[in-house]
Amino acid sequence: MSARLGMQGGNLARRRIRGMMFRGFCAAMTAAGVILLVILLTRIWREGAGWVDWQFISSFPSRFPEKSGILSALVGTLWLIALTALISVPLGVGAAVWLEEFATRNRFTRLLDVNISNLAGVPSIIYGMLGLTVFVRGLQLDRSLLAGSLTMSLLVLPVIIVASREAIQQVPKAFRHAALALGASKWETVRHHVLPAAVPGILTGVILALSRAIGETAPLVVIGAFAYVAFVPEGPMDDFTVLPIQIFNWASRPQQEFHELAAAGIIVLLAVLLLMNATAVWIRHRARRSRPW
Amino acid sequence: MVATAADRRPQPDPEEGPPTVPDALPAVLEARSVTIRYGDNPAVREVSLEIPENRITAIIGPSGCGKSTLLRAFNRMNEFIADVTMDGGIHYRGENLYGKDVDPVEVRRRIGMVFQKPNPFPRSIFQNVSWGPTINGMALKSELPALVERSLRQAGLWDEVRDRLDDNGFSLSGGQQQRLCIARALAMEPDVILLDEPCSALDPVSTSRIEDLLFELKQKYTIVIVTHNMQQAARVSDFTAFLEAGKLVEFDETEAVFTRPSEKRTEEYVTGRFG
Repeated sequence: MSARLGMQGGNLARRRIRGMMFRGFCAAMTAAGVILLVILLTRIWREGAGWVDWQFISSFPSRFPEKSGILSALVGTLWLIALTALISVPLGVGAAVWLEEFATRNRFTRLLDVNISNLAGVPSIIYGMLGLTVFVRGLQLDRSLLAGSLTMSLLVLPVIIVASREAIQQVPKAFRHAALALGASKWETVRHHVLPAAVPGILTGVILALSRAIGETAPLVVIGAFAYVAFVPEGPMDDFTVLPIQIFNWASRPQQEFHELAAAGIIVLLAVLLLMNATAVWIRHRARRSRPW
Repeated sequence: MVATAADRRPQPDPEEGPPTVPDALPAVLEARSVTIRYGDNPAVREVSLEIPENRITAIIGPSGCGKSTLLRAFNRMNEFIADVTMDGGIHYRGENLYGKDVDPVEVRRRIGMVFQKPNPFPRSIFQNVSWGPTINGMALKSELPALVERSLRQAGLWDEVRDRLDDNGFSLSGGQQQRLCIARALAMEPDVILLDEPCSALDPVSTSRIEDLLFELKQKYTIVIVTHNMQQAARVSDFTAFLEAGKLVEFDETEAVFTRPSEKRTEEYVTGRFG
């Protein structure tokens, strides 16, 4: 028994409609996200773009909106990110290498695995509390950049560890075996073959983790970063503020001009973020192209 | 207890335990009732055999018979596979390879290995060869070019790469990559070279080049080659060990194994009736 192909039998029509409905649903959801983002960005751009100029970048905050600028927050953010990277990269990459290359799999390391993944999901304000207790009060670091960076390091460490471990896992086993079979020690194998091959992946993970930290406000508010800082921090023990705190501060004032300043601050923050993420994409792309295996 | 073929040749006795190295060749490596388990599953069972000096010993057997596992035990490479445990002992020139005071790094320096799939480092051809001697402090920087050239010549690759030593190892063909890996192993001036199905990823021309190479190398080195290619074992090896399901079924001169095997299973395998 055979029907002509054109004759639609059974439930085919219904199945086809369902398929189309599902496709339409997914497209609509994507569109909703994109449209919201576009609206948000245009609003911010309309409000803030006019304020972003050299005067805005190079001035300290002021009670007069037209004299106000973002210098201290921008420099504070750059300091914070640099210090956070300095602290968290050796810790995170070191832990990842140990877990992947040296640790024997046992109950303890499995417990670590689970905990690291869970830590990545802990709300950032909790890290703020921890930072307040341990660094600000315990170690008497006060509201310094160092205290802020240490707190941020706690926040990004799980992400860096997970990303680094994935990068290390992707290095072919064959390289390790080749090196070890030549009488290389574990350390020489890791240093000369595993890490170089994993660096692009690790860097990408680090940058993405740090760009998450750039947008974080809660932990820094908890440890008491100032909103009004009329100087550029010059060392890790200086007081500081960061872009999101400055933005929050302006947005919470009643005057329209300050809301526009907040929008301008957001544009600067987004520009920094975009720059970092673009760097991550570029590194990944370059590594993928130059990878011979 | 390691039986030798000389013990049992006149009157083959299957109860006498595992076979053997025929003549009175000095044994470089000696496995003494080696059992290797993955978790609880034994992959190699009670294998005893002696690897004679300056000869090529082939280990053959069907897939999963434990031949690669046994090979890796000879330079302690099984230690990088989780859950592998070993009973019995392996002796290298009379010394226990797994002794407490033996550093596995030293073991692998003397007993080199070439893998199934060519695995050059993603470095230049020169660095591929020079890295081992460098980290092991075997050569001064000024001596490296000569060492690299010598190793590449021994591996029969020099003429093809002499003008492109700075190219990435991956830019070579599969067969060249494998010879680069052999050169890399030779640069360590090892005593023994273990090869784990070194030609299984290569075309026939590259395969025969490597087989010719092995022939030359046995003047200086002791070679153990795992292969699932029986013709290859017959062509290149002096001795052949036949493993099945982790057990050593037969170990004898290659010619004997292929023409007048003493075990029925060996005969069935080498004539292609199974495996």
